[in-house]
Formats: sequence, C-alpha cells, structure tokens
Amino acid sequence: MDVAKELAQAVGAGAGVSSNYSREFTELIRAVSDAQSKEEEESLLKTEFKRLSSKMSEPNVSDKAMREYLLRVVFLEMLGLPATFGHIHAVNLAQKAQTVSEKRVAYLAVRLLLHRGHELCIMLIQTILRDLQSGNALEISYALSTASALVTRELLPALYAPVVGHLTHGKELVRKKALQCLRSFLAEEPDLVQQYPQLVEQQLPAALQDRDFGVVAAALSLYDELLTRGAARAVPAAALVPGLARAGAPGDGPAGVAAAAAAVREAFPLPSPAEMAEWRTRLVPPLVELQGRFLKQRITGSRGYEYSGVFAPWYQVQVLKLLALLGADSRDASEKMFPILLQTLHVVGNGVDAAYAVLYEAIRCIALIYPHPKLFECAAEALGRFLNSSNHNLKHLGIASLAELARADPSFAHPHQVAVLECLESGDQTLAKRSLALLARVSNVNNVEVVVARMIRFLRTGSLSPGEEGRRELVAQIVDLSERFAPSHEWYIGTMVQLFEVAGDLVDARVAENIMLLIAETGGEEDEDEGDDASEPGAGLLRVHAVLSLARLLRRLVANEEGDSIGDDDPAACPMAAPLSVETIPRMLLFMICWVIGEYGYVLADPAAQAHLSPGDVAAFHGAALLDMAARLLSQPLLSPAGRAWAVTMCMKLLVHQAETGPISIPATVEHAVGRLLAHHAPGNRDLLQRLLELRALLVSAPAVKYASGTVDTGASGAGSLAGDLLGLDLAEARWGAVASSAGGGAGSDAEPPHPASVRALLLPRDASSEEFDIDPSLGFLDAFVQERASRPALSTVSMVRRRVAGTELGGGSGAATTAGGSGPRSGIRFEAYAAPVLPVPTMATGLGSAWPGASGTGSAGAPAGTPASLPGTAPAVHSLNLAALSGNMDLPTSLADAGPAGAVSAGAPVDLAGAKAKQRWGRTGYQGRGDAAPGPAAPAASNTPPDVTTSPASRHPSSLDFAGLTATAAAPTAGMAPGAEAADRARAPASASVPAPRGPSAEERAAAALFAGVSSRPGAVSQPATPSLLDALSSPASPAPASASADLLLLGLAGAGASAAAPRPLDDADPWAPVAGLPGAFCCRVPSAGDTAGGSPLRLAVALPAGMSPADIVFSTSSPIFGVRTQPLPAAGPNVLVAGAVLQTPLAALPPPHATVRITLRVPGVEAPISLGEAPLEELPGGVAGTLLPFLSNPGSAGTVATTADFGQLWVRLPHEASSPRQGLPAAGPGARPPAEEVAEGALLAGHLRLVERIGTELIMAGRVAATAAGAADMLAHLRFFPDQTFKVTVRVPAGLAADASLGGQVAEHLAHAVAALVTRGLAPGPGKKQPGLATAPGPGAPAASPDIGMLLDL
Amino acid sequence: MIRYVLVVNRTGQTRLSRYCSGASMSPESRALFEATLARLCLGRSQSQCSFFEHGEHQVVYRRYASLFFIIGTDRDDNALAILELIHQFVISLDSFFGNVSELDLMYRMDMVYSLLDEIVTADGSIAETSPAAIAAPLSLALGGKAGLSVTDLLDPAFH
Repeated sequence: MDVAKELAQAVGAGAGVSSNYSREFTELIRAVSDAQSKEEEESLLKTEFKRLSSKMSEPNVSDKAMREYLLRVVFLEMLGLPATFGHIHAVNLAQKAQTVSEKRVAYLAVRLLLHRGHELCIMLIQTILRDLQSGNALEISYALSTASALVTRELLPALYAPVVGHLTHGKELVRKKALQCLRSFLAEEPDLVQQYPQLVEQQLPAALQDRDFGVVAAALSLYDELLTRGAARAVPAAALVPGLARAGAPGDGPAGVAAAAAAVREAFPLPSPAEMAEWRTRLVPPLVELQGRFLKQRITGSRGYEYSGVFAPWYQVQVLKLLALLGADSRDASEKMFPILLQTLHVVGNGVDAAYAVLYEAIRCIALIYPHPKLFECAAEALGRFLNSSNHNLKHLGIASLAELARADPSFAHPHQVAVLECLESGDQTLAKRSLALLARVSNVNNVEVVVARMIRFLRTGSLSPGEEGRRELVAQIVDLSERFAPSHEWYIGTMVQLFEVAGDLVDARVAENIMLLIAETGGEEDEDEGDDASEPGAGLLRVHAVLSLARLLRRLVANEEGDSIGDDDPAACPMAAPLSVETIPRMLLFMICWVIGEYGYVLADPAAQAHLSPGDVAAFHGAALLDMAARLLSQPLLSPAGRAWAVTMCMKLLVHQAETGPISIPATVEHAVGRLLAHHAPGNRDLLQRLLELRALLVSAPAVKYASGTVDTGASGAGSLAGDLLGLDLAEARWGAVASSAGGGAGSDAEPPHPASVRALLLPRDASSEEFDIDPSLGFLDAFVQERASRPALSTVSMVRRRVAGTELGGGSGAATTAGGSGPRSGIRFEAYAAPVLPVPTMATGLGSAWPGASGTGSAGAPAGTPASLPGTAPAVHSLNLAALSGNMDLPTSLADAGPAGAVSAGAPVDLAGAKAKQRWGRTGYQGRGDAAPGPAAPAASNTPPDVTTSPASRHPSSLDFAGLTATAAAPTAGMAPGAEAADRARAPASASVPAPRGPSAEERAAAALFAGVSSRPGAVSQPATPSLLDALSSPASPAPASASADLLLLGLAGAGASAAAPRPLDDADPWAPVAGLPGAFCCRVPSAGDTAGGSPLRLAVALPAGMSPADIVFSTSSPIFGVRTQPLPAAGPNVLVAGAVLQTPLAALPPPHATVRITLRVPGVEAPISLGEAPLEELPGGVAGTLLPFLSNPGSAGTVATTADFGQLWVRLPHEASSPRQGLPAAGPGARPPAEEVAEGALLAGHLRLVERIGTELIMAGRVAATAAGAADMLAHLRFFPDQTFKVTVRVPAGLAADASLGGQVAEHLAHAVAALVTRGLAPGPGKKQPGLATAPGPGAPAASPDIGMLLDL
Repeated sequence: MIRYVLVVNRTGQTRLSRYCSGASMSPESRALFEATLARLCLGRSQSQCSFFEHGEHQVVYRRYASLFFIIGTDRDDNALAILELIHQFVISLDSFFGNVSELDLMYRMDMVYSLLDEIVTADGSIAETSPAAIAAPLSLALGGKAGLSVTDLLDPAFH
C-alpha cells in the first residue's frame, strides 16, 4: 500500500478528480445505489432508459453531452438493461470527437457496448485508421485498444501495417498497445506469422529487449499466444454460466461448448514439433536471461513493478509458463532452464502471496519439463511450505502443484498425505476437490485403505450437498480406486457396503453385482474341498465377513425402523450418517443384504467361521436371529414391494439352509410377518403372494422345526397335522431324493431313502448361485416315463386325476430311467428320468394356489383350507412354487426341473409354452423311438385324406402333437404318431405361409387324428367320421382307447353346430379345425358357425371332465380384454364325461393381438385356488380371420365408400395383398328346390357382413370391413365368380398394414378368402335344419352365438 | 487467460463488468450471472480459499468492504497470481482516487474502466502491472485538469 500512497500523491490529479457527470446522472447513480429493492432499481432504470433514448435522439447533442449519455448507456447495460439505441452514438462520437477526453470515453463505450463481430464494427475502421495516424499517443492507444478488442479477421488486413508500424513508436505506451493489438490479430489470424516473417524474426525479439517493461510484458504475452495458439479461445458464452449451459440454449449446451472447443482446435492447431524446436532455439535463451533479470530486479524502466517485494510476479509467471511450454518435450531446452529454475525456487520464497504465486509456477514448470532430480527435490521441499500453511489459498496451490509433481512420480506425494487428507476435510469444497483429484492420482495398493476411508468419511461428513455433481464424481473415484487397488476381497466388500450405505443411489448397480459375484465365486472355493479349509482361512472368511457386515447393517436397519437403540451401538455406524431406513436405503444395498444373507447366512453357523467371530457376533447373528431380522424387515410397512419380495426369499433361503444342518428354531416373528402380510399386503400382488405362500409352506412343512418360544400362533391347530406331508413338499422331496440318488447310484432301482431336506436343497440349493447348468431341450428324461405309461393298463380318467393329485402315478420307475443321465447334466439340477417311486401318503387339498389371479382369494392368513379329501386334491398347485423367485438368477432351469415331477398340467405350463414356442420337441426322441418300433394304425389316417393333401394330418397340426407329447399322457404314445411328428417338423414353417393353403382333411378327421391317431384298439376311429367315435370313446370308460390315451384331464375339441349340422359331410376345408398350439393336452378349435355371421364366437373349447365335476368348474379366461369368454354348461355325454364348452364372446373386434391367450383352469370343489390346465396363445389360431369381418352396416365407415363398381376398381388396384380360394363341389342346384347358387351366396355373404357392390352375371363384387390390430378396421374387397362346372373362386384383396406384421398381409388375405369361401359354401350347403344364412334372426354384433350350436353337437 | 473482471456488491448489483474476448452475453444474462457469482462468493467464508470453479472457469475473488472483485480465468491459470492482480487493481484505484469506495466506482465509472483497460487487455491477458504505468494514460487524458503529462509519470530513463 505504500506504493499506492506514494503514487496517489504523485498522481495527485487523480485523487482530486471529481465526477464530471451531470447532476441528473449523479442523482440517478445515488438513487440506484440507495434503491431498497430490485423493483425500485428496475423502475429507476426504466425511467432512465426512456429519458436517455429520447435525449440521445435529439438533434445537435453536444459531444460533451453525448459523452455522458454514452456512459449512462454503459451504466444501464451494466445493470442489465439493454440500451442498444446508444450503440450507434458511441460509434459516431468516436468518429467526430475532437478532444482526447471525448475520444477516450467514446472508444471506451464502443469497447464496452460492442463485441467482436458486431455489425457496427465496420463503421469504426475508418475512425481507427485515422486515429492510428494521429500525432497524439493517447489517440493512437485508444485506437489500438479498440482495434484489438473488436477487429475481426476480415478487417484485419487494412489495419495490420499501421499497427506494426507503431512497434517502433517513440512512446512506450504506443509500442505496448501495438503489441497487444498484434496479439489479438494473431489470435484471429494465425497465418500472420507466415505472412510477415519479420514479426517473429526481428520485431518480437526487439520488443522482448525493450527498455520499457510494459512492452516486454506485452511481447511475452504475444509469445504465449504464438505457442499456445489461444488453446481455449472463443469459448461460447454458455461456458461462463453452468446453469445457462444446462438450460439447453440451442448450440450452447455442454456439447456446444465441446464442439466449439474442437472447432477452435482445428482452426488453430498447436505448433508442430518442428515449429516448437524453432521456438526453443529462438526463445529459451532470452527468456532464461529475462527471468534472471527479474530475479535480480535489474530491469530498466521498472519503476513500480515491484509488488510486495517480488519483482513483477505476473511477468515471472508468464515467463515460467512459457519455459514450461518450451521445455516440455526437450531435454536440451530443459537443461538450459535448470539453473534459473533452481534460482527461482530459492530467491522468490519470501513468504508473500506474490512469491508463492511465482513459486507455484516454478514448481509446475519443473514438473512439466524434462525431470531433474535435484530440482524435483527442491520443488518437493518448497511444496511443504504451501501445504503446511494455514492459508487455504496456499494449500490449494500446494495440492495443485503436488498433483503436478505426482504425475511424474507419485512418491513425492507420500510425505504429504496427512496434509492432503486434512485439506480434504477442511470443509472447503474447492480444496477438497483438488485433494481428491490428487489422492486419486497417488493412490496405490499400500495407501488405498486410508485414502478410501477418508474419501468415504468425506462423503459422510463433507460439505458437498447431496445431489452435488462432485459427490457422484467422488463415488465413482472411490469405486475406481477400490477396484484397482483393493488389498483384499474382504476390504473391498466392506468398503463397498459402506459406500452403498453412504451414497448408495450414486453407486453404479454394476458394483453390487460385482460384489455378489465375488462373494458367490470366491467364497465357493472352500466348499469343494472342505478339508483344506484350514490352509486357506481367507477364502472361507470372505463370505463370513460379507454376511456379517451386511447382517450388522440389517440389524441397524431393523432397529432404526423399530425405534430401537441398538443401531447406535454399532461401531461401524457414523453419527453423521443419515439413519438407515427402509424408505431411504438404496435399492441395491437392500437387494445385496437380502441376497447375500439369504444365500450365505448359514456360514455364520459354521463353527470354523465362528472361531473368527466375536462372541457377541456369534450370539447376535445365529440362524434364528438372522431369520428374526429378516422377518422384522419383512414386517416393515414402508418396505418397497420389491424389497418385500426379496425379504421373503431371504427368509425362505435361511429356513431351508438352516434346516439342512439340523433342527432350527423359527422365531415367532416369521409366522407373524407371513400371516400379517398374507392378510393385508399380498392380495393384489401376485408375486408377493406366491412367495409368501411358499414361505408358509416351508414353515409348516419343515418337520424338524422346533418353535423357539413356543408362542408361535400358526393360526391353525391343524398345523401339526398338516406338517410334514402337507403341500406335497415331502412328496416332492421323496421324488427328488430319488432323482438325486438315482443320479448318484446310476440305477434307479436301488435308490437310497431320500434325505428329508433334499428337495429343499434342490430348490434352494446352497451355494449354487454361480454354478453352471445345462438344459436338455429334448427332455429325454421323460422318455422312460412315457414308455412306462404307454404300457400300463388304462385307468379311468377320474382315478387318474385323483392319483395324479396324490402323486401316486408320477413315478416312472423303470430301469431305463438313467439313459438321459449319461448325457451328463453337469449341475445340481438334474434331468434324469424318474426312478424308484416312493409312495407318499395321499394328501388333502390346501389353500396354496397357483399364481392365477383367482388364487388371490386365498388371502386369509394362515388358515389352510383343510377340507376333507372327498375330492381329488390339488397338489399340483403346490409345484407352482415360484422357483424363479426362490433361486434368484436361475429361474429357468429350476422351473424346468420342477416341471418334470410336478406334472405338465400344473405349474409347468408357462414353461411348457415357452418350450413349445421355441419349437422344442419335448420328448421327441421318445416318440421317434416308438415310431420306429411300431408303425401303427395312424397310417390309414394319412392315406384316407383327400388326394390334394400335401401333408399328413398330423403335420397340419403339429402343435397338438407337441402337446400330446408334452403332457406325456394325453396322446397315447403310439407308433402312428411318429411320421406325423416328423412331417410336422418339415411342414411347420411352410404350413403357416403357403398360398393357397392345401386342402386339408375334414375337421373331424383332424380332431380324431390328432387325438386318437394310433389308438390301437380302434383302428377305424380315424377313417370313420370322427365325431361319433370320439364321443363314444369319451363316454365309454371301459373302452381302452380313450383310457390309454387318457390325459389327466383330457381336453377335446369338438365340432361346432355348423359341422354337426352338416355331418357327416365335412364342413369345408377353410380350416375350421385349428388346434390351438401351446395348450397342453387340449384341443381347441375355432369353428366358423352360425355365430360367425353375427360376428362372433369363433372359438370353441370343449373339455372332458371326470365325473363329479361340473362344467361350471371349468373356467376359461383370456388375457386380452377384447375377448370375453363365456362358458357353456353342457349335458353329460356319458357316465364319466362331462363336456364344457367355451365360447369366445363376441364381438371379435380385432384380429387376435400378438399375445392374447386363452387360459383354462379347473376349479375343484373345496379347493380355493383353481388349477391351471394350461393356456393357449390365440395368435397361433389360424383361420381366425373370418370372425373379423365387421358388420359394415353398423360401421358405415370406409367400406361404405365403395359404393360403385368404379370405386371398387379404384380401390382394388391399390390394395396390395391378394389371395384366391378356388372351390369345387358346389351342390348341384336342384331343380327349383334351390335358388341359383349366386343368390344364395349373395345372401350368405351379406349375412357375413360383406356388402354387395355389384352383381354382374355370375360375378359378385363385394366390399367389406375387417378388423385388424395394426390399422384398426380396414377395407377388404372380394371378387366372387361362379363357374358353370359348379365351382367358384373367391379373390380377396386387403390393404397393407392390415396385420400387425406387414409381411403377414398375404396370409390375412388368404384367410379372408377362405372365410368368404366358407360363407358361400355354408350358404349353399344342403341339409335338414340348416339355417338360411343371413336370416334376420342373426344376432347383432355383441350378442353371443346361440347355444344350440353346442347342444346340437351333443345330440350326435 | 482472463475471461471476465467483475465488481459486484453484496446485494448482487454490478458495479463494474468487463468481459474479455469470446463472451458475448446479453446484458440481462450478464446481470444474472454476476448476481449468481456474488451469491457464490458470499457463501464462502474468510478461511476458505479464494478460488472456486464455476462453469468452465476458475473464479478468483477478493472482498473489499462490501465489494467483491471477481476475475474469471481458465481453470489452469495461476489463481494466486490473479488474486494478487486483483489487489494490484485495487491499489491502482486507491492510488488514483484516494481511498476508493463503491460510489467512486459508480461516479467515476469511465476512469475505472480506463484503468482496468490498462491492466487487462481486451483479449484477457495481463498487460500492465505497475500502478504508475496504469494511471499514466488516464492522467494524461485528464491532463487539462490534472496538469500532468504522461512523461512525468513514466520512468525518467525513457527520456
């Protein structure tokens, strides 16, 4: 400040200068600075704005007045009010100002108000050029300043010469300004150097030696520009304001900034190595010399440059920066600098900030140039002074320079670790960020623990507010360091758990996955040879450690939620950390807790592990305690649904794993939690319900359970009686035990007694999460079972069902069982065939249901529906244990594993469907084998078919065969099926796309073929009209045919009324019998019947039921809301068989959506949950299009526009998809008995919603509307022509986009052609009782087809 | 490279704003930006360091009474040198006006800008750091009143 005072006296003038502003302006300034509010200020400014704009536009404003007005404009703009009206006046005043004083202000205003590239700049050029020639040094300097601020590349050539001319001006002020101006020019136009080589060769070196120090500094700055090419020049405005950049101003976002930067780099490439070499020779000696002069303070013209006892610190910084640039890649150049750098380190250190600024620059220079050990040492020593200072600014620089040094050699940072960590926790965010960057740079295996611990502490306590970007960066840094340098897995896991706790939502979910993988894989080594456990104590402890740390967390979590104080005792808990709560706990952490404790909670019970635990831990985390904590977590009302599901699964795993090692205690809390949740939370959440029921099943069935406190209230006194064999779990155990032993023993016959816990262990295996598993897609394990079934005498359907439910018949038990075992599944999940069946005690039904929505009615907690077993039970439902949930990531294979024993008609159904869709041939090998062995009576079926049939009946309906095979019992595995199955493989793809469709067998034939092909005792069944024999078969329990074919629940397709009315004549060949693929054991068909004319009921399903069940017990439902299903009770067809019909309710408003399914479930009296019999995807329903003809009358939409033949013709050519259906065999028109075929056809078509456009002789042209998924309703045009030979041909055209998949358009057209043909045929078909098509009695859309259809069927 | 030089008071009112090359913002967004910076500076304690990062730039600030002198620079610039430059600027103002105050900045706005122009060039480099040389051209321009010539202020060696 001494300098300042001295100068103040010297200048004197300045100190006394008062404002020359007018009273008006001074009052404005005072008013603005006194303004009490933003609003007040704004109103003042607006008033001023108006006043000023009118005043400035007055004529003849004096220069003096204008001078002030311009300042007032600057003032307004500074306060945020754009006053663009003043800009031109600034330019004008600069041009005409007469006095230096006015010129100064005018140029100043121009520089402040305009910017480079402003449109007014060009108007300044002449003024600037003139003033450059001025004799007044001040005027020249104003012109130079303005030129450097505003001149752009285009204007530059005019100015360059005069500016350069001033480099030798007599006044240092002008020389300095000229150099500054040139710097701006170079930034705009780097090529100037090439254009004017003497600049670099002569003028700049001369300037560097100038007597005046301001000139020298300007030269330095110009060199800086030449060397760096303004690397970061032209930063868009958005870069200044973070908020602005994010606000998404177009082109100004972060991407815009980056793009601008890239453009700048391209436009201003850094000097090439060759150029740099030239610069080195040119610059290094003078710069070194200059720095030497700085240090000696022997600069001429240096008055006033000393600052705080340091000579020109800013210029030294500039020199050092240039030296660093020059020495960076050159040992030679660096070596020339070493002495002066060393000198700088020693000389400048006098303890003032300016000296530190120079010191910092010197250290950075030393770090950047070719390394010199001595220099590094000195630099590191100097660093200590920064870091040990209490001044945060110095610490900041110290850390920054330490980071520079550590880049060359991290060891420099080690002595300063403590200081750095202090900075981290200083509460100063700037400092902390720098420190973290440094720490990340110097971390290694040795210090990572300390570093990361500090980082986490910083996260806990640090000043970074949540959501701060820096927090995320820090988390990423911690993860990165931990992954790179973790000294041990234990440490890594512990650290990550802490990290999740502190900032879980910022941690990548991948980290949690890694940890779980690590725990699963690393810890698993010990299990393979437990004998070696002692030699490798670390590996086994990993899991112990992980489980323990997560268990502690769980305990705290639960305790916090329950308001307990135990959480605070935990040494790991940091007082600063936000309390854990189920609401705020990071999702991944919760998942990790549930998974790890669930999977590996048992390790804490291991005596070997307990040796490593403190007695307190052993006591706190024994098996029952873990279960208790899990249950308490489960009970938390605020737990997320996903969290609850995880917690249930955790409970199950804990239960099962602990039961393996002996009796365990189940805390009462578990029962309570399950009971309460079942009552209050589960309904509506199927997944949770499923899991809870499974958990409850485990709870009650665990035979070894001893209740801990005796206070368990299971809600059922029958719990005891239910225990053990309840729910079929032990049945399953028995079976799985057999499987396991057969695999082990190689022969199923001498199976060992199953271990009681084996099934649980298989379902919830210990430590199997990282095991590989194989899937045998052929399901060869079923072969033996199927064979055995085939050779067995027939059983009545009812008894089959009963036994099936009881599980008696499921054991296949033949010696061939192990054939599949040889092909070697490697995992614990085995697919070998059944062996050594064990008879379980027949059981009763329980309330545990399948996952169908109907099951949610079982919510009453803990009250198994223990009704007497007067009816077949529903054990299969038990097998729908949600294995996916249980086994975490191994859902598919376990589900498959389950599907085998559980039976195809139970929970396996979804899997079955998946298999079918994937074109897996379930049990194919078995079929093939049988086929070869015994070619059977199915052959006649093939030979019976019409001559134009290109594939066997079976091949037309491969899916029904699939499912016959899949259910393993439904279709008797007979030889005749084999060729069909083979053909199906070949024909599957073409069958769906062939145009036109080959003429198939009749509906009945197909039904029969599909169901009874190869029934050995009734070879004639296929060749005869099928329906009677089919019903015969059904109604006659003594008949071996259906019995041997008996499915547990046989689902049969039955013909619709149209078929029955027309029988025995085949209905027609428009695919009325379309088996539904994917429905196990079921045969579904869609019949174009009279209902079709009403626009509905295309699907019929009939189910054969055991006696004692009513058709009302069959429940049909569809997954798509556009289909309604109406069940149709039917009279009994025989002593043991009931038939239920289901009718898809009308209207069928659209083509089946891609995923519509029909679901068939069986409701058994006394059992709450319906049994799923399977489901059929409707999308595989071919021929469903006929039902999609829309009644255009009620929708006078687009089809109505086809009113004339011309319309028809126009539209016809535009519709891309065409298909024809030529038909033969029209009934001969009896003399007078029947109307002409054309007329009948017309009536039928009209009834089928086609609209007649014109009838020309024997040709009909029709328009219609069809429903479609993709395009809604769409036009359809049909052309029908009758030929003299009693044949006719239908040609249909449909628009693109009619089907969801455009490629299916042709197929849709084909279906429609068939459908139209079918309508015609039906209309012409003779027969008693035939309804006239298109009768007024046809129900309107929405009304279901009349039930007589099915009734008539049964009349047969 | 210096990107901007600002003087903002505690209530976020701008008393001086000078943006160096490259940044052309509207007056409204400038005022907003400046108020934001003032708020950020206010949020920092005396003991914390005088630098922080904002946007793409490093902000260096120094507080004098109710005024924040703020300079925005590139991130790798020598922050301490900039901090000292602020002080040198204030010294220059102080020496020119004698005990400079917030009102001086407003009432003698043109002079303040002229002084700053000597210190920081239009494209953001540090030009002059000697208070005498900083004040010289302005004093000369005001010469009629001050009665001083520029040569009086400069080093005699130049004569």
